[in-house]
This record gives sequence, structure tokens and C-alpha cells, in this order.
Amino acid sequence: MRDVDVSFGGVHALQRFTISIEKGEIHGLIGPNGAGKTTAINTLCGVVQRQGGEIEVDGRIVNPRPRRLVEYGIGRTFQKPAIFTDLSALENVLVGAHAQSKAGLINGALSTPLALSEERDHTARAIDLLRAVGYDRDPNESAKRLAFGALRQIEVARTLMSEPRILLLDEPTAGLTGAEIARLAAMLRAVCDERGVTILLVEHNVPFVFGSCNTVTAMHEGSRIATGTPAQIRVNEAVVASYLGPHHGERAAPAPIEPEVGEVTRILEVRELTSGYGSTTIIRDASLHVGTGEIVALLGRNGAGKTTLLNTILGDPRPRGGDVVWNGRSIRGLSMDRIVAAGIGLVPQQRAIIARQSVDDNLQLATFGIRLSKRQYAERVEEMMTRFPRLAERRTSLGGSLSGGERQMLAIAKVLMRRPKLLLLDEPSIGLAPTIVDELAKIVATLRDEGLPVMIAEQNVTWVAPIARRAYLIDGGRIIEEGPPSVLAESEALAERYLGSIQA
Amino acid sequence: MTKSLPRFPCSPLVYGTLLGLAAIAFEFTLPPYPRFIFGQFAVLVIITLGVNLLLGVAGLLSLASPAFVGIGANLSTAIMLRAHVPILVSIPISVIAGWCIGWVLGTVSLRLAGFYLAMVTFGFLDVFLVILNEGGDYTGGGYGLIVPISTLPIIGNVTLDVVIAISAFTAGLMIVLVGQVQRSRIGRAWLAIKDEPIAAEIQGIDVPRMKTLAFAVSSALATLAGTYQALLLGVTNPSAYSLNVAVAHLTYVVVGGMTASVVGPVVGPFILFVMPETFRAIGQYREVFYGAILLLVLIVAPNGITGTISDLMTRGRARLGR
Repeated sequence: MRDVDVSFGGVHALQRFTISIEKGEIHGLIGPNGAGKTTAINTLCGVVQRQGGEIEVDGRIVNPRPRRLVEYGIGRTFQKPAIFTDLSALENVLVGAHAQSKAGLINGALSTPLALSEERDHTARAIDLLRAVGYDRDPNESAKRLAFGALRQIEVARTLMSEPRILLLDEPTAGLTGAEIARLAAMLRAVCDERGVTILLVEHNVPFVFGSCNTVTAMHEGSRIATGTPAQIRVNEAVVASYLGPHHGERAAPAPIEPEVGEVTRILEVRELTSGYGSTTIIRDASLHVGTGEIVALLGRNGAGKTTLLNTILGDPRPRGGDVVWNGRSIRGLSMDRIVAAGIGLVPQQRAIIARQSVDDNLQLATFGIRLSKRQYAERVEEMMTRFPRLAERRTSLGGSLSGGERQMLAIAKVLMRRPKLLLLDEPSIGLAPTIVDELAKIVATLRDEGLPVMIAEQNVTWVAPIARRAYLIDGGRIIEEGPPSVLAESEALAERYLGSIQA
Repeated sequence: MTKSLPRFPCSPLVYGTLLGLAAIAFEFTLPPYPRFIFGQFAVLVIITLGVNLLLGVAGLLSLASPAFVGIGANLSTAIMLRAHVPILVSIPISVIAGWCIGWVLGTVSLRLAGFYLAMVTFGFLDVFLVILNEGGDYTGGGYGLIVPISTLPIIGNVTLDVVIAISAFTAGLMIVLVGQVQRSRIGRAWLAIKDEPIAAEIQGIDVPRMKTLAFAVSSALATLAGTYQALLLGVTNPSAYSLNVAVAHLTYVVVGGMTASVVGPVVGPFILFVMPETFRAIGQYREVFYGAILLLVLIVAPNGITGTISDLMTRGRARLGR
């Protein structure tokens, strides 16, 4: 990829971006949020049109279009796993063999020997691949019901099914736990060594990239700033500056330590809560509480039930057993809009923002249903712009054009517009660069200091441990431990190693 | 959802034939009027299989289904009248024509989705109706054509019973074949396109081709059903291909479940056509009855019949497992 330019509506996403990937290597592409990493991969796949520059595969200049990628031997995964939810896990992987099989309509309808033998071969290979990526559930399970980690595995298996020579992975570790990441790293190494597949890895998780790549390219604001071995990049000043900001020397100051609060009143109390979706019970007898002026962390690996627990507090799904007490009154069985009106605000994992509306419009939509005078509204917007200076610069930009970090800020701002009395954050750090996570920690700590209690569901314990007063460890839908976050962080690591190895 | 490919010890053709023969056998246990209803039901099953394939599997919303039923009915009848050929010739020609017109309509509509696609297909239906009404002797104008008596080798005259038997047999065969296609590589590609078009394309699926193919298959099924419908009713009726009919077809699919299942396209017409017909005795309240059934099904089973049943089955299995 040479001198590639891409711009969206005046914003230069890629500027004379150049990257060259050697055959048989694992090449890491790193950079802070909004650097243009995903745009680079999208351009390479022809999903995004480029304005200039050229792309060369195996010495041939190509003009990639999504459908021809398989011909070039290129496979890719998406930041948010693109899973065919109407198909089972196995069928998802079988779609990866589409281009290799010939059986058409007639063969399919009549189950001719051709179709049957193709199906048999591909099914066997698909099941092998599912095992190889660490998928350990029933292959016939509908993709709708699977947890995030499993979806990632399916997507990787599906892409490998088309036997690519070049594999493009867009943030494959996002949303995975330590054990899952370690397994992924081992698998990528194996794919590269045994099948001779070249891999381009777009990642935030810098240790993971340094640990598994031969070469690393760092980019910032749409351009390449350095290429080299992990060892070279690690000490490259431009790279360090782009990640940590120009003042990284001062960064050492951790997010403010919580002031000692005198009497803590419990404003939210969850008692022996049980809930789930459809036939599956996910949360079992979970009890926890949040008091005034404190940050509480809800730690646990993927699929432990963190999101479901937060959603149950909000009333969807409704609790099956137990009680949720808000300021001394049970809110069990209330509908979500009434719970939100009562003052609980949730920032969901997917950062529910409206992609086709501007930042301003998104904020306005967030005040739907509450009466605000023009002055009050303007005040609140102003408050958000001071809280989130990044948003102030992009007030007229469409939600969909924001980078991951900006989206997260907007998602939080939307909830704060309603002045909630309790803030619930669902994995806010997913997909964010370290500097942004630091910024997030500061913002959350400030909110707490201003008297807003916060509960953070996280698997990335490093940033919550310093600011949270208490933490709960959840696994298999049960709260298995409660205590100071630093202590729990260790026991979580233990639990993960333990549980992770059983599942492997 | 579909499980992995069931191991057919012999060709699906055998199973299709068996199901078709069973349908014929059932036909002859019925008294004359229910038998006629059964024939109409078989025709509707064939149409609904096609509409479900387009909407429930490939995720494409088309309102053109009655146009293809009309093409089947009129073309086959016109060929029989003009060229004096038996149905053995006129039906295959009509179906091939339906396939081709469907392919073209699919190609034209490629860039469109959702309501825009629905509007274009509605336009197609409208144009077809104008042609039908203005077609003079070729279409019989607003009166339609009277279907001539045809003969088949061995069987002889194509009586109403024979037409019902052919329709029932075809419906049985198509249930099996369409089910196989939906479970095959092609069916998976359709479902993949419906869920994540970009990811599907990146896996090497030729999305435009697959969409046109879905249109062609769906149109061919509707055309085939149309040729039977004309034989069944003895006339082609220009008012039988209106937008109302398109909506009825969509309702069968929605009530049936909009899934990659062949049970839905049988259940939908059964609940919304056969059951109200059975209560024809209640006269003018029949429409009320139809509406009540529709509301009841959608309240009790919001995912359609098959969607809800599969939910219940997983729930049941989970309970057994515990």
C-alpha cells in the first residue's frame, strides 16, 4: 500500500499512508484512537474508496473490491465481529468455503454426490478449525446465543476457512480476556508458521502486538510515523509521544485518589438477583450495593454476566428473583424508561450513539422526555463541552465519523445530559488507546468527586483499580468475591487462569 | 434454525416424490369442496415457499409475487389457446419465462433494499396489471381468458381432480427441494447476505448474483403456481393479482415465521387461508375471523409460528439438559 489518501467529508483519514508487509510475517499496525487504522484496513479491502495512491499484492497493482478479496487470498475480520446470526456456528464457518465450492442451485436441491462430498469435506474442515481457534461449544449452536469471545473465534475460523494467504485482523483482542488473548496469540503464531499465512494485525493492545509481531508500523493522524521491529518501535520517540501525548512525563500522576467519605448511604442495593434471557439463567443470586460518592468496579471475564447484571438493574431483562432497591424503594419490575427517569444512567458497551446525527443532535436526543428551558439545556451542553473538550471540537460532526474514544465520550455525555444520580458504565475501555483510558479515568474520578456514584463493569482491571473504592468479582453469573480492587485484581487473574485453562 | 445437513440415504427427489404422493393420497380422502380448497392451498404453499425464500431467507422485500402468478396463469393459458399445445408444453415455457423475468427484475433492483425495493417491485406489479387489462385478445382484458380443456398422456383429460393432484404433488416435491436448497451452500449464502452483506462479500460471495438468483427462483415458483391456479379456477382473473394479494402472500410468510424453514410456508397459508375457508359458513364474519386469527397469532407468536416453535424447542431442550 503506497501513498494512499482517503478523506471523509473534509476529514483526512489517511494521508499518503504507506505500509509494506513482507510475506510470512506478522505485521502489527498500531496507533492511538482515530489514527486511521481501521480506515487503512477498509481501504485495503475496497470497502472504503481511496482518492489516491496504489495498492500492490504479490507485485501486482490491484484495485480491491470486497468480492475479489478471496481471489487475492485476502481474508479479514472486523472490529465488531460480523457474524451471520441466522446461521449456526458451524454454518458461519462453512460460509467461508463458499468460493471454494461449486455446487449450485440444482446440486443443492437434489443433494447430488458433488454437493454431498463438498459438504462432508467442508464440515470436517470447519469443525477442525473451530477446535483450532479454541471454540468449545456445540458447533450447531445458533450464533445468536453465543458470547462475544466465541463470536471472535467463529469469525477467525470462518476467515481461515477461505484459506487466505494474507489475513487482516481488525482489533482481534478487543473484548477478550487475558487467557483468551494468550490463546489467540498462540493460534496466530501457528497459523503464520504452519500455513505460511501473512498477518496484518491492527491493534490497541500494544503489549500483544509487541509480543506477537515481527514488524510493527505505527501511525498517527492518518500517516505512518515509524516502521521497525517491536524493539525499535518501543523506544521510538515519535511513537511514544503519539500514544502518551506530548506531556507523557507528567502522566505519572494517577487519577486522583478518592477523598475519604464519611458516612456512605447505599443508594442502590441489589439483593439476590436472578435473571436471564429466554431459557437461560445468567445472573444467579447476585447481591451488591453502591453507596453515595463511591466508584464500584464489577470485574469479571467475558460472559461472566457483567452486562446482563447492569441491564437487569435497568429493567431489561426483568429480574426473575431477588430485588433491586433504589434509594430505599424497590424498582423491581418497573419498565426501563421509569428506571432511567428515576435517575440511573447506563452507558452501554456498544456506546449507543446515533451514527447519522451530529454530536449536538445526539446530545439533544438524550434529553428526550425531560423538560428543560433553553437556558438549562444550553448550560448542560456547555457543561459537557467543558467536561469533554474532544467533543467541543467536533460538535457538528456526525456520530458515525467519530473515533472510538470520541464515541465513548459522547456516549457518556449523552447519559450525563439527563443528570443521573447513578452512572453505570459497561466496559468503557474496550477498544480505547491508553491515553484515552487515562482521560476516562480522570473524568470518572471527577464525576465521583462531584458526588455522582459510578459502577464500572470491566475486565481491564488496571485502570479501575486505582480509582475504585470497592470491587466485586463476578463469574458464572454469581458474585464470587467482594473487596478492595487491588486484591480482587489478583484473585481475578488467578480465577481466569484457572477457569480459562479448564475451558481450553 | 437449520441443523447440519441431514444425511439423506437417497436423493431428496425420492423424499419429495413420496411427500407428493402422500399429498395426492390425502386429496382423494376429501369431499369435493374441501378437495378444491386443498388444491388452492397447495398452490399457495408453492407461492409462499418462493416469497419466504426471498423475504425470510435472502431478506428481500418484494411485492411482485402476484405479477408472477399472473404471468404463469396468463402466459400458459395464452400459449394453450394460440398454439394449441398441451400443458406439458405451456407450463415449462411459462416457468422458464417467469425465471427470466424474475432474473431481470432482480438485476434491475440490485441497488435497492427495503422499502425502495418494495416500491420498485410494486411498480412492476402495476405495469403488469396495466398490460393485462389493455392486452386485448391476448389477455382477455378485464374479463380474463377461459382455460381450454387439456389432455395429458395416460391420464387423459385434465379434470379438476387431476389439477389438484398435480398441484398437491408439486407442493410436496417443492417443500423438500426448497428445503434442501435453503440448507445448502446457496441457502447459507443468502442468509449471510441478509445478516452482514459486507462480511458476506468479503468471504467471496457474489452478492448481486445471489440476490438475482433468489429473485429468479422465487419468481419461477410463483409462475409455476400461477399456471396451476388458472387450471384450477378455469379462468384467468385479472383482479386476482392485485396489491392485496401481494400483502396476503407477505402475511403468510410473516405468520409462518420468516425463517429458513419450509414449515412456515405451509403453516402460514393453512392458518390464514384454509382455516377461514373452513368457516365459510359464518358468511360475512369470515373477514373478522381472518383478522382475529392474524392478530392472535402475532400476539401469541410474535416471531411467527416457526420462529416461536424453535424458541420453545430450545427452551425445552435447555430445561431437559439441566
